[in-house]
Amino acid sequence: MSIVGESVVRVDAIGKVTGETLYPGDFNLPNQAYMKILFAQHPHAIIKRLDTSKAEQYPGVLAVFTAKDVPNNEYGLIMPDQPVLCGPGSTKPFADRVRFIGDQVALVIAETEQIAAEALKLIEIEYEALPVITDPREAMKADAILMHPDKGSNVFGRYRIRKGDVEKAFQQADVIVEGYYQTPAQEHAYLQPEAGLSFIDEAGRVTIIVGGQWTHEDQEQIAHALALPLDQVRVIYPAIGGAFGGREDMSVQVVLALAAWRLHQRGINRPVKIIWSREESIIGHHKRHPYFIRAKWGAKRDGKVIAAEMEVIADGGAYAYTSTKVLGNATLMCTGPYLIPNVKVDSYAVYTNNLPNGAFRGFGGPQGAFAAEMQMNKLAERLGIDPVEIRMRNLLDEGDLLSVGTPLPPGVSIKKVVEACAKAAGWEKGENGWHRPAGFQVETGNPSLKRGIGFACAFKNVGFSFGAPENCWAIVELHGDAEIEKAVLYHAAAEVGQGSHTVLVQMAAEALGLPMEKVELVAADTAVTKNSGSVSASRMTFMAGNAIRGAAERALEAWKNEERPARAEFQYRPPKTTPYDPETGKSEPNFAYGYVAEAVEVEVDIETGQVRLVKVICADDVGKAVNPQQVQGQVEGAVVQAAGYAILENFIQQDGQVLTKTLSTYLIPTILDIPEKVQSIVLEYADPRGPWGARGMGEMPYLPLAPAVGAAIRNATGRWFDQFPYTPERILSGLEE
Amino acid sequence: MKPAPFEYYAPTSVEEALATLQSLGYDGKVLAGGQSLIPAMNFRMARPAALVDLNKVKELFYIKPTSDGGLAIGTMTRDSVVEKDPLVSERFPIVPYVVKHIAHPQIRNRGTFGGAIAHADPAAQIPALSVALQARFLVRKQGGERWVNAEDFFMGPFMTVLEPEEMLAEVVLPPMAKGSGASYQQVSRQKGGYAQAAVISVVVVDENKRCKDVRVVLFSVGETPILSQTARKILVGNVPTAEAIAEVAEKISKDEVDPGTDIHGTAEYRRHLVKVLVRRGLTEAFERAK
Amino acid sequence: MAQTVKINVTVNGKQYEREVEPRLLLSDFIRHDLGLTGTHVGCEHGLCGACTVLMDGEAVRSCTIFAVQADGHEIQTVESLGTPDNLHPIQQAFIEKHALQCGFCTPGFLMTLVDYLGDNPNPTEEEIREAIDGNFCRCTGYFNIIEAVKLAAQKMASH
Repeated sequence: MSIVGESVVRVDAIGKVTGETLYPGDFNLPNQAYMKILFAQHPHAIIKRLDTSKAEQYPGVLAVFTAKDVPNNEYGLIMPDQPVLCGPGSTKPFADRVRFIGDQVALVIAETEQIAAEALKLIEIEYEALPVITDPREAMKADAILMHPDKGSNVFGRYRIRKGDVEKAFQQADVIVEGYYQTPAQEHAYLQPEAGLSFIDEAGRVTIIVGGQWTHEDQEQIAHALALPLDQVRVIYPAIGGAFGGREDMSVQVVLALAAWRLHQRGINRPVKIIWSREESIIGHHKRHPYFIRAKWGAKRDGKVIAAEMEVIADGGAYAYTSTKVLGNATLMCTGPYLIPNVKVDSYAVYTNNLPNGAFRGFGGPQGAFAAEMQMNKLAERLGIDPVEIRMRNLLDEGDLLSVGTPLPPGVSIKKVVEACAKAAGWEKGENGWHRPAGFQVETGNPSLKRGIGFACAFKNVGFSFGAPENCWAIVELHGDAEIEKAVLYHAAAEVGQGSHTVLVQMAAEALGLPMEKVELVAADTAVTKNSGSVSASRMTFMAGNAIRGAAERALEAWKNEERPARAEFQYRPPKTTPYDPETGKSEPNFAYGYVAEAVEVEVDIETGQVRLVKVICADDVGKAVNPQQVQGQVEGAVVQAAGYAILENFIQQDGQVLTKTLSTYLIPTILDIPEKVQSIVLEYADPRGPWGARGMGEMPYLPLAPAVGAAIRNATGRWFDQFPYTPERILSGLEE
Repeated sequence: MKPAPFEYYAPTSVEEALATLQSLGYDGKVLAGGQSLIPAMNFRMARPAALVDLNKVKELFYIKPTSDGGLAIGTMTRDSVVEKDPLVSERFPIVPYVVKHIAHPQIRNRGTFGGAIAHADPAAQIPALSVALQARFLVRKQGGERWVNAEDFFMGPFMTVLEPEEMLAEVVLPPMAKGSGASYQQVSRQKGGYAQAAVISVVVVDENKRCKDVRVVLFSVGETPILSQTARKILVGNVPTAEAIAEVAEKISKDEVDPGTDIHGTAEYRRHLVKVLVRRGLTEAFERAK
Repeated sequence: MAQTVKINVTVNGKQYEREVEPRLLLSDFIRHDLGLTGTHVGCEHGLCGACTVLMDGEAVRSCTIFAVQADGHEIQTVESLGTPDNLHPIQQAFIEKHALQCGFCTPGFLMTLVDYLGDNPNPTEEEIREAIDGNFCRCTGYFNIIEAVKLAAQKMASH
């Protein structure tokens, strides 16, 4: 039997096509009240006075909560630097101020959403404006105002890599290529805006039905902010309308819990519901980090890169979110999947008054890959070497040392991936190595339409990196008498659309030797599952698969020992990773990777500057496609999302205000904006550590797209563009220069 | 609830609608398809005190041929009906092509031909189309009516010559002249999104391929649809050479449009687009006229 | 007290008589007043298409229509399409072709397509793309949706 490897139908498909599936905003309980949040009206200011009395007296208002109502007024995924509610009377220092326009100031709970919205307007608030800094390069300066005065610096993340001697190597280089790369913010634009329902459950727990990416982390942060024991808080995720990293940090979770809990303490036992509008969603959750990357690479005439020097600055926005982790990835990936003997990287995550930036598919990888791949393509051109050939001469092999001084984990397949992609895209291997006989321009028959081909590749970590605690639990329960009639898998993984629940059931069925119909999944409820870690970092298939195998094995053992039901749990712990050495960066960054290469064809209208992505070929080593149809769906979804990032989307903030707060101003790809074709080449070079050989793959197709498009535009127009999105106006002004 | 409160009227006849508008005066606003008005109300950018909904006024939904070879279109005719009507595509092939570029199918199923004209969004297709095709509008009020040429109808962004008690009732498109050709060109960041610049060109040539008439109408680059005078001056009576067309495009972009800067592009860029699109549009229109 | 209007509306074949404020959007009426949560709201101003329903058989966005305007009309939501045991061919095709991931946009696509394929049983790929250009999807990249529409057209033809 082989269920792993089959394109079985999603376990949630029927509910989703019939409308039966419930998302966070679809839950209703009798007697529920509604909550609206007062957001900061300034990007940086101290709240001098906050008077909620008129709002409290408004007919139909149940309560108004502010900073003074939050027991531990702080939260944050990697450091608790964000107040739950900003304002006077807080339990934490410097929580009297707002640092971006999405900071939450007050909560109004009322009989209807309407009343809550009206009462919100009655809250009187006086601000003392502070200087607004929106450029991290300004915020790094010694005299810049501190966003978090208790921290002493706006730089809150800092890494160094020192490998070999770049200065000496530059002197030995035949060519040196430099670039200053700027990558934009990006809005996740998942279709389902944040929503949730909170109530006190039958066991007296503060319970939140909400969308997120990590139930147990939400639970922990809520318990901390509310000063409640962990088991007094319960987090349940129903179906979630997309995430892409955008729900890794919290949005409505803590305030929903706070509202239900405080009401309960006042003897008001009413569920509290909130649904954010699209505008609230856009200002209320983090974005992909804008990066500023200065790069200088030196190479020998034969194409061997011998030195890379990088300065990497990430705009962290108002709060840390996952910035330091994202920066860790970018720091590693900004020199690409290449063996470079001399590397120097200095990287910084910096507070500003922009929206906080955090997790978004690729997690620092796309920004790093953009710089690395642009550099590699420029080197290829400068040296007259084919872009695939130059990569083949530099790509990492098994045992080669990364910039951080350690080798990649076993199962390095990047050369095979590059080869598969190149072949599919018209490259051939000749006597002088790889080349593309048809060249890099494509004739269109229209003098204003120029087409070019571009190539890029990347590597993407699977799992938490750099020493972050990494593990995943699974519980398996076998029911029946003589025969196993039913297996129940208890697992905390969120289903955000990526298909995790289907894959979990597939893997459990495979591990137990049962048909899928006999496996029941109980998922994403902290009351009955154990910590799985987040659905992020392309990790869940890998981590859960290993955990499920372990639990299944033990449960089958217990079954043999006549236990009924036979129940077993297992915690999978992958090989340890280690943090960057603060001086040299030496570390064991990751325990697994996926490898990807992309070739693209773009068309540029040189009169209007419009860029159209025509075709994409994407080769991914996924180790083992547990569900090939879902893998293909991830590739296509990632490519189109990355195309939006590279060409169409344009998140604009000015002086701390967001100018693109709606889907009519923040434009995401419609079906008429996508390429004619995305060809995915799914390669299966098993990861020795992965379950059934699987690697994680949800992010990696995203990484090489922007630089591949950059190279294709160069081949179409003769110009390099080191900054994207490739808006028509940017292209046109570049062509005019 | 997203919009601010309003009073709601749903007349079932034109007479009733006009009487309601008369009594409401400045408080009244006509609700046609609502595909622009309701989103604006959801954001509370529009807060009409009262809405007079024409969706139950059956007599305003029609497309009728006129005896001279043109068409009369009832104000409430849905965009999607115009888009798919065989008579429309036979007599005015440019119309369905332009209408197809309005937003998305679901919006065209609801949005109306007359509603778009009365709403006078400077970025909307149908107002410009009506100017390009020399449409005439039947404007009615209680106890009276008047005819207004499309060219004289648009006063500014979302402003027309309509008085509060008046209603646009019918759009009449005079027949296309013999030897006509038309073209539509637009650039938008997202397909189906607002045009950063757009131009509708309608030309007429004689047997000798000389230009008899030319109507170049630009939109999204000024406060109202802009009918180019330059095109007429330079092209009428002459063979439309590539050079002449280029000259027209250059002059229009310099002198006749007034684009603004917004988050999707600067005024300079949109001015540049006008030059490119006018050239492409006129070239295509004259080719089609042959 | 705000004005309310009595409306009579048929939703998925069932008649409802309700008093509503004129400003109540049809999407909120369907979701909150009738409890039919299969119709999703993603943007509230007529862009994303998640809230698409049929009004007298035509696909429209329920977030840019007032509930009062549905008076005397027939509304169909995703709940009317098919049951788990008896799925509509378009639903089946979406499942078979993996044309959904998070699924939040799916009801809007399905309702748009029921209307479209009813009128255009044999569309080309280009026509398919144009038919659903008013429905945003952030997960799939749309390619499997195109495949599903092709398959749905085949299924409907052979029915």
